[in-house]
Amino acid sequence: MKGLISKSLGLHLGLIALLLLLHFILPDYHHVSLARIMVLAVYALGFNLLFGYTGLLSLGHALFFAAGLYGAGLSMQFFQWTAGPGFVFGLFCAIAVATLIGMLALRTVGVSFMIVTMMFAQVGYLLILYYNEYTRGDEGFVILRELRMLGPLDLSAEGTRYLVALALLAAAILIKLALVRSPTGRILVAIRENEERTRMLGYDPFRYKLMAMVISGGFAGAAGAAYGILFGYVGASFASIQYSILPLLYVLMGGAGVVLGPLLGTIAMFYLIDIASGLTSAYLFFVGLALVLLILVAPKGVLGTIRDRWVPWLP
Amino acid sequence: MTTLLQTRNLSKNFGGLAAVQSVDFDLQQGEIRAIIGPNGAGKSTLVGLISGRITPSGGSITFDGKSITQLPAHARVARGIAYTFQITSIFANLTCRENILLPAQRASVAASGLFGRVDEAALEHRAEHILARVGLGDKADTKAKEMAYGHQRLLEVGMGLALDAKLLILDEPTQGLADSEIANFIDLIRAVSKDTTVLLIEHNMTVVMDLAQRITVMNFGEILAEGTPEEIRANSAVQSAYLGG
Repeated sequence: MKGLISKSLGLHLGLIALLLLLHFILPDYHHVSLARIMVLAVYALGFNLLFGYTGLLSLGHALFFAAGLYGAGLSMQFFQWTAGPGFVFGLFCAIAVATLIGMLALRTVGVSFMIVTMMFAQVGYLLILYYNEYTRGDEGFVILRELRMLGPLDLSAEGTRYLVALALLAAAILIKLALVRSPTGRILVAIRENEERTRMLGYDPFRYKLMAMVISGGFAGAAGAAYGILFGYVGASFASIQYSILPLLYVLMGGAGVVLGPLLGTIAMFYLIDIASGLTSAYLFFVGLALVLLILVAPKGVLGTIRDRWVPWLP
Repeated sequence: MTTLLQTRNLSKNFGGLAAVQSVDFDLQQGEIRAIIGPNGAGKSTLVGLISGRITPSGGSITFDGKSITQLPAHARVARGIAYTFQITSIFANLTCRENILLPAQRASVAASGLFGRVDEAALEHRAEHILARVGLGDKADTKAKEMAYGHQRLLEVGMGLALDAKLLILDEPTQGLADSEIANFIDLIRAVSKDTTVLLIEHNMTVVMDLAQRITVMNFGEILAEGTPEEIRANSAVQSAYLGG
């Protein structure tokens, strides 16, 4: 068991070290792309906690991403806050929204849960459009460059941006790894596998599902806030249904219920869309094709299948 | 001897069907009690009401001196009522070890809170001990769904044991077990009963007569008779309920 812990910790730390190494060798274009991917991967990591581990499929996660994005963006815009307070406020907004939505939506299960979360996310999206006097609606707004400072660090500079995104991703991976390996993580998996049995072992499923929802929403909010701060743009499209579906695609591609699945899935899907949209405007065809192939060849996602066949210790 | 569990006027109606009617049931600390009765007599409904899986239509339940009538099922587990399912309900995709660790960690998780640390090594050790006790010592790393049905039943019993409860409710535990496994099971329950009260629903009369100190007979949602195995064997009302008459 001890050896096992150090093996999986070693793998994750090694991966973080590899991403750090890439900072020094990647060409410009991929350097920017990877910074974006790492922030989106934090979003997907949080989604995976709820979907892959706890077995709850939310179709409204864009609401939490947007809560972080707008919480940070609007507070910086209106109060002239810098990146630090802006990020913390964005995170706080996402956690508050996730707590509220969780308490309401978790009264439902299965398909109803999917519909209820999606509806709340649509409400959020429409609210952003409705209050366009403050949010600038679809058009969005740019966060001033001089506010995108974390102490002495200029977050609009490419190198700093990459490293901050990496730090955020590293924190997300390590928090998630610790969580899923803890007794609490074991209970989340138990709820996914057999909720009634879990209740009869003395655990209140609602309490644990709400906790998973709040942490997952927190990850989404942290990603949203970081996205706005690092790339300087806040817009309503990030609250649209498309941004609720994206983390689901990332997770399905990489492997639900595997810590690193979402990161791999985000990289694969990001580059798939990137390359395909360079070739044709019908790039969604390639996304669809990839998903069909995935279901046929590796229904548990890339890492899920690898874990089943070769690496059973992968957390 | 003190009373561990007491139900008064406990009832459950499913539509027009009175599955359990005004049942006054008392269970003493430390005893092994069997509930028997024909199919549909209300046995499973009664233990469902006690464990909190089913909400009563009326009546009250007292456990360990306190009313638990209003408590949800998971809170009753925390008070010390462990329930094992009639239809095997294990975590099929998890290993036997994980299946046992889940109930085994309950007390320490409750004590340390959501993000608290627990002593994993001690828990692992305990899980292995419990697996050995139910005869699955060599199956710790086997996925539950890959085992034979009888072994899944034993795992279900092991999960009940791992809760370290004051009252262990077993709903048809020996269903699907081979004769040799039944003999081991009887020894196991006898050992467990040294510090746990056991309530079991059982159809296998050899097990009932061998294990139970007292027997409660149910029929049509009511308690028909109660007594020692000898008394029940000699009871004519029980005989007619079973044989029809």
